[in-house]
Amino acid sequence: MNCLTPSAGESVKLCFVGNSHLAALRGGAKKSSIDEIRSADWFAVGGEMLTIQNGRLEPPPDGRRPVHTNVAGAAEHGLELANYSTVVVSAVGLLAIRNASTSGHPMRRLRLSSWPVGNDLEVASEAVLVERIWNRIVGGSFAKSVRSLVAIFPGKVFIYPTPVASETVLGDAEWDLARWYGGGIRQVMSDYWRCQWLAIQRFVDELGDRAHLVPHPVPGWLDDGFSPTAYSSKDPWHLNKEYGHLALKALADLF
Amino acid sequence: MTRNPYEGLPAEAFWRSAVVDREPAAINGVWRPKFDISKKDRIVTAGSCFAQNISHHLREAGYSWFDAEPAPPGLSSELRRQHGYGIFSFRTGNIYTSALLRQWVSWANRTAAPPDEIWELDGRFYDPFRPVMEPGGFASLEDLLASRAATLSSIRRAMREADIWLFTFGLTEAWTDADTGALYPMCPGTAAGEFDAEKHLFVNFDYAKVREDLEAAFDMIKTENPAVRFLVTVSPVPLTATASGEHALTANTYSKSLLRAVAGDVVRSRPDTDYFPGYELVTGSPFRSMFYQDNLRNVTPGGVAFVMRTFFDALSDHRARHGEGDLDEDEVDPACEDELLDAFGG
Repeated sequence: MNCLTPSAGESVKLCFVGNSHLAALRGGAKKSSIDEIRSADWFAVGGEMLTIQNGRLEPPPDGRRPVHTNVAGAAEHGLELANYSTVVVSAVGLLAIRNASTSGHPMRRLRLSSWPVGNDLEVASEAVLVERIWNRIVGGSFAKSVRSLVAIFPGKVFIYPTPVASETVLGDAEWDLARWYGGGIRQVMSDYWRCQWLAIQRFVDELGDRAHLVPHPVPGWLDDGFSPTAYSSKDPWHLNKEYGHLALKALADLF
Repeated sequence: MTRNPYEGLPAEAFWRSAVVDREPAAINGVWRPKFDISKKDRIVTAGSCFAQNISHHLREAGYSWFDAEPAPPGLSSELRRQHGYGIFSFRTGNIYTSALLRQWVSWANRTAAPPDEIWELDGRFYDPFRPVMEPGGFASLEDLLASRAATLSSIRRAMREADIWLFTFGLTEAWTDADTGALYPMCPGTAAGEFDAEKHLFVNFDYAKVREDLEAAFDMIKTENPAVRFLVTVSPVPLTATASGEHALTANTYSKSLLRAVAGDVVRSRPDTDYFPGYELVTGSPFRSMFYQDNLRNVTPGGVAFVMRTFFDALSDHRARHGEGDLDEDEVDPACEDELLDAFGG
């Protein structure tokens, strides 16, 4: 029996929840050949503000961030998770590495010894980089919410990793990482995404048997360090509906 | 209308608002430190196996974990771990009970002396009080005694130089020598040695004994170092097995409840002692056992990280670092909102 196959007599009702990376999936879902994906419910809040209380997805307290949803009334009153057989989460991982990012991002603290010397960051092994990324992920509000969700939701929970940023970011001559690492930037980002993938795997493994990590739809992007330009639109750190389409196929492969 | 003492209490005083209405991992404010711990404070860690996790996290977060018995230079990380270096502040191995802590401290300050008992097997020598510190045993009795002396010297140093002494309670059950009264850290015959039913006696300490031993150990440390402060925790790791004759579940509940009660009462009576609720942060019903591994015993790395984050979040050095922009989980990336508005037609 595959992951999403319900027991006899049960129907599959999907709920997609998450942060801004849910937008790509939402765009891709319109072209999906899977009925359950096209008819799914959606609940997204930007940033790290996914809130779960009493078995419900709730709007952020004090209206601090708007809810984006296709379910009438959910933006104001939240969603009852018990109405669903399966939840899909997008996406777990670190925030974008923008120049304006806070200094605590591991890529602003560490570098591997194999990377070009373009800064005075502390030199670390891959294991340490994975550990720092994992620490940062598990300490973040979004991961805490995902952990809570898996603890209280009795069905399967599929979890997407943060997508690999597109190479459009290289068009920004001021981007710190490109300035630091020059021609070595692809290797640097490849190492970064691989380490992040290991950290996310570790996080999901710990959540137990009901949590499943959805693989990157094109594993080769991890080796390239970037996804192709065609898979982002306005922002290189957020992929578009073309990526969403591929990502939903990766999910369907788990069904 | 008659007023009652519960009116006007903060939200954290009520189970619903403090626990039920929050997502489990967002339950906060569980620990309000009695005294602050700065990154300059030298922190000694000792106790049961859960305390093994603490040294690594303290170092990772930039706190001054006190390594009073550092490994010799050149030892690989694997060998360091095998020989008990870098796990606790000194190489005693796990100290599950307050009686064992008292025994080590009294040997270190020379108010008592270890008995002469040594275990020998196939020409190798095993320390009954540190049976797993030398895998395969020591080559000679002299080596064993020199190694133990080094550890006692390190405990003395820790007693004199620590700013914070963190002790993690593990168990109430132990094994003792019928002749000398010495306590073994592990039942003879498990990791090393040979069990003798006449000589090796089972004890399950009661409240009064656990408390007396803890306070006696703290007082001895305080005599060496009047400025030291103590932090007590209770390990959330259940016992592996009980020799009490009870079911493992009830034996564990007895043991942990007693230890938690002693910790609470000692903290109330001693201004120099605080309790950190790592036990509640793992075992509490709001957490639905999600921090336990499949054996329902060991705590997952994520669980340890959650406990330690609660620890650090309550300390002012850590809060100050956040204030400098280390991690702002609530930061708004304008691109995030744009993406969602486009996708959801807002």
